[in-house]
Amino acid sequence: MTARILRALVEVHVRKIFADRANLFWLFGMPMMFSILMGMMFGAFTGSGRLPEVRVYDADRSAASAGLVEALPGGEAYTVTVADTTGSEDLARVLVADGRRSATIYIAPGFADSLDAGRPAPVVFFHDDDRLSAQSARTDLETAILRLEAERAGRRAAPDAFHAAGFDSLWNHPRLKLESSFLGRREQAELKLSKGGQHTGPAYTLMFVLMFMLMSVRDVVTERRNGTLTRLRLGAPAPWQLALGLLLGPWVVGLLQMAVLLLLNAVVMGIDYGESLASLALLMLVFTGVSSALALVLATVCRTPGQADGVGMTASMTLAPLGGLWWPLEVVPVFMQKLGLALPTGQAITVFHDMVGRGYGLAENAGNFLGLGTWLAVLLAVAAYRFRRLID
Amino acid sequence: MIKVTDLVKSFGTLTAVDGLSFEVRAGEIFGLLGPNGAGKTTTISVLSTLLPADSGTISVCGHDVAREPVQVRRRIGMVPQELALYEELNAEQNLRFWGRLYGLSGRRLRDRVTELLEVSELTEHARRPVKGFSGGMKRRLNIMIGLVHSPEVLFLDEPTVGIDAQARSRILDLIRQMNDEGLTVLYTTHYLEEAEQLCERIAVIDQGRAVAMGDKEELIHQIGEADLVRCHVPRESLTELAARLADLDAVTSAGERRGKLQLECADGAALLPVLQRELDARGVALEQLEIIRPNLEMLYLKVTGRALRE
Amino acid sequence: MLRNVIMKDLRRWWSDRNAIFVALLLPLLLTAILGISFGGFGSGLGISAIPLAVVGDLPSLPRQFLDDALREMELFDVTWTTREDAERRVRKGDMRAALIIPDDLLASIAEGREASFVLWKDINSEFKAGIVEQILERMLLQWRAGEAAYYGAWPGEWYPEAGAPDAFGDLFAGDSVLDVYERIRDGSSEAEAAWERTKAILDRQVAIQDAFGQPGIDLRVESRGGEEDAEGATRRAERNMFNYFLPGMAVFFLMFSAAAAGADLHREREGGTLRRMLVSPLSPLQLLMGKWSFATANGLLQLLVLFAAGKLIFRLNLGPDPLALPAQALATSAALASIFLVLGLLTRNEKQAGQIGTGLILLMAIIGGNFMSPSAMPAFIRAAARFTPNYWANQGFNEIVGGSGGLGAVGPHLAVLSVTALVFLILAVLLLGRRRREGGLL
Repeated sequence: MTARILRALVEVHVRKIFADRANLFWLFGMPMMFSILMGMMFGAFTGSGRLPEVRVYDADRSAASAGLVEALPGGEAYTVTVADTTGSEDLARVLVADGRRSATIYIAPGFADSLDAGRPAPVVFFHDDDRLSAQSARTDLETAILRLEAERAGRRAAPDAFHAAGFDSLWNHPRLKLESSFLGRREQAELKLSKGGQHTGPAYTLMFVLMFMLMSVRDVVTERRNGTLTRLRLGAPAPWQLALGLLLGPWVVGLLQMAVLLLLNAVVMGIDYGESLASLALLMLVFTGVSSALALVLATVCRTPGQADGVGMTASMTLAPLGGLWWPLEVVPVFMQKLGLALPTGQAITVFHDMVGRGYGLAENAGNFLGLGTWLAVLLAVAAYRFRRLID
Repeated sequence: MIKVTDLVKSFGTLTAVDGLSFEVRAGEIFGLLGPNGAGKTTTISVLSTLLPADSGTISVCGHDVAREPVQVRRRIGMVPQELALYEELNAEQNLRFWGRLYGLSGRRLRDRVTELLEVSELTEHARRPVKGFSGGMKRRLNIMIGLVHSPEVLFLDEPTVGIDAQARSRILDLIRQMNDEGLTVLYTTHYLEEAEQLCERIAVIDQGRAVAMGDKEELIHQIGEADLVRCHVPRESLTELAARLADLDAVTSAGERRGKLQLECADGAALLPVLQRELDARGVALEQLEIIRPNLEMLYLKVTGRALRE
Repeated sequence: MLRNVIMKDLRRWWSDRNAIFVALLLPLLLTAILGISFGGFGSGLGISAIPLAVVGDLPSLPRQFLDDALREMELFDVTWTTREDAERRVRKGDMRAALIIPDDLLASIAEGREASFVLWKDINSEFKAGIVEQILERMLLQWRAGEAAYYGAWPGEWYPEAGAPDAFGDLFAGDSVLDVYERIRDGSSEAEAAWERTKAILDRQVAIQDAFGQPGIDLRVESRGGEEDAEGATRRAERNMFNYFLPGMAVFFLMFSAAAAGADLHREREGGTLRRMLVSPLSPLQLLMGKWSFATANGLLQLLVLFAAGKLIFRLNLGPDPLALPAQALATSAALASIFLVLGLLTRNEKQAGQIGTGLILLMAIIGGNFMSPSAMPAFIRAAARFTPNYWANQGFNEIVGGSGGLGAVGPHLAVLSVTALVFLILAVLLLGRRRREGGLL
């Protein structure tokens, strides 16, 4: 009897959702669009496309200024072009201010003479500090300047006996080096979170699953107002069966949504989920359960569809950034990291990160699963209690 | 006041109104009676300038609807079937808004709003949000909004749908009161009783056409003046009894209808003793009896071949 | 007539306290979250200490020197540990990075051999591990510069040729500390040679340092926000991050309000009040202008309230020109009101308007820079951004709030938004006429 009732409730919810084709867009289309767009911003689809250009205006036209420019490597992050004209400081500034270049360099006239005379030789670097290419160019420029300064210091110290070849040799082949690597499931950079959609794919999947679930708050509120909830109550032997039925419907849809999205992310963006299928499955089950339970709790609080929309949006739009779905939690202050890790969104995305980066499985993720399980249990209890009061 | 000649209005391949013609005299309550989908609302929409007619001529208050819509709109009031109210606002705010749209302001508007609230017995509830009103209260307010600018003609499109009998009765009283004060009313409904109680003249509409028109007496005259007597008798006696009673002079026709004995006669009441004698002679017990006077349902059935409520 | 329609819609809007609450509270809440996450008012809130493990068997003096250098940066939370422990902790995420000092570092330096520091980074802490890497590379770069300069000046001195006298080797020859002491005490030739060698090295170090201290290339760095000093990062840390985030959030939620206002035509149609209005003396054009005026006024009010609240709560910079912000707010509201009015006329019912509207808003928000500056995005998105009204809105507000610009600074933005408002309003009028003719308004 119970299974039949539950099945009927789940079926009616699933049918309602998929009867409206527009829901397919919200379930799958919008999340994928977000993931892809955000992933693009982090280099998900590298390949063709022009590199950002760093333009150099050399108003000095000396060997020294040319030497400085030659020392800028460019490469994968940007290209260096030297303007035919000497330009001006204002022109260089405006190019960056207008967004036409990520960075420009202006070498003022008298650069070489100033260096020779022991006076400060002006170089101005204009950059858009939001752009990675500009940051790379700045680092390279500072390195080039340091090289030049080091060579000049050596020459000043030993003007008659400076050994240029020796200097070059030690500069190009430094004795002290730094070898860095990531320690993780694979010692490779492909699994970096910033690479492509590796963070954005799972993160926006979680966000949109939560968001769609919280949209179901309106459905329950509407059922209450329409009287269909009362009718359902009369049909079901116990309030808990009704509550469970209202919980399971969105839960099933959420699971389906999450499964499809994760699959699409893997196919379209090549996202890796680690090696623990059990961990992934459990994460999907628990997170969708938490979202569904939260939606039911909120449905018992809201009295009108308008309230439901507002509360649902507020909940999803705060849980997402606080939980580290919009940016990794490591960039925020410590107290916010702790808050984020206490939230179901933070726990879920951490499980993803650890599965992918560290190769964690069920056992290693136990802590976060315990956290999610606690959320699920608490929310279920609250939902059951409030729901019973609502319909009795 | 309203003159409609050969009105035709189609929506794609569906002809909603098919050559409808009627006139509404000043100061009368004219009914458009017909089932859902007969074309009543479409007719009202065209008369109120919401929809253009495909063909035909319509004049309201002496102005052609197609050529002078603005003049028409100033003179008519509209009470749509759905409750066209701003539920977030209170009754007074609703009336004031619509009043201002019609150019009322200041004291004139205030007095008019007060008057309408009194007439509709909503004065006590004037400052309550409409969403808290009962169905009947909302319907009354819906009508008052149509009257706020003192129109010459009021179109009422099924204004009593979904409310209880008492509320309906109050609304009909209200309309009669307005009419007594000189308001011309075009009233559409699918409730026979309303049309019979309220309207002086009625056009029966079916599938976009007027199938009968006139006052009550004229309409009933169209179906004749015979009474119907129906009685419930044991099945085994029915056929024989019908055959016997058909021979009586007072009986025009006799037969079986839905398991009952049905007799058509000029005067049902006068037939009763005769009927009783015949039944007693056969030892047949009379279980149920009703006498049906000619009515609009019978008219509708006769002109369309089906019941109004089918 | 117009005022009547506007006041009616204003009363209806005011009666829905939940919608107002969401329209005002949510942007402030998100601004708070975003702002605090990225530095708040710029003091005290920022990158937390980065847990860094250090592994190395250094003598106490160099170890202390390195430890002090790392701690003085106030960026690291340093823990000296073993290699195995460091690896375990980095893999687990307890340490963001581990620096492994080569065992024979000092000997390698003294003998001129290569030596490699190893940096293990936590794969899930790219940002902080990246900071560690950058800082260490910078430190090694400084070393490289000094070493190259010295070697270029005195190639034979720093790293002696094979077979050349080794002053230090001769001084410290033998196993006995007593022997070394006696050589120094007695002023032996080995001690004398070692002292001369030490003096020479130190003199040259000083000479190189003096040479580095001479005026050289004077690098001035300017970002889009203005000139940075040598400690450019410090300057940025003092920036009020709420200035950066509140305009974007305000415009984002304004779009939802504008969409709701545009969909109101459907609500009125479905509720029957639109039909009633069309039967009244109110012309369809007056009705449309009333709706647009309400949406614009409502949007303006919403923005002004948000910015005022931002000033009170987040010390938002409202710019030097009292006209700039209201003008920008008005143009933004007008443009969005027009666009979503058109959407309302193009869609068939409220649900469709809501769904398409929300999808459009989210897409425009990403592209137009409500969540992230378009300058950080790929080129094609930057190009597409200019076709979104919120891009011009965001940029204009950023000029005022972030750049302290006045009316002149936002002139182009005002122009684009105003033209957008006008074009879409005209489109709305045309669409309204068509729908009315087709009977679609009923």
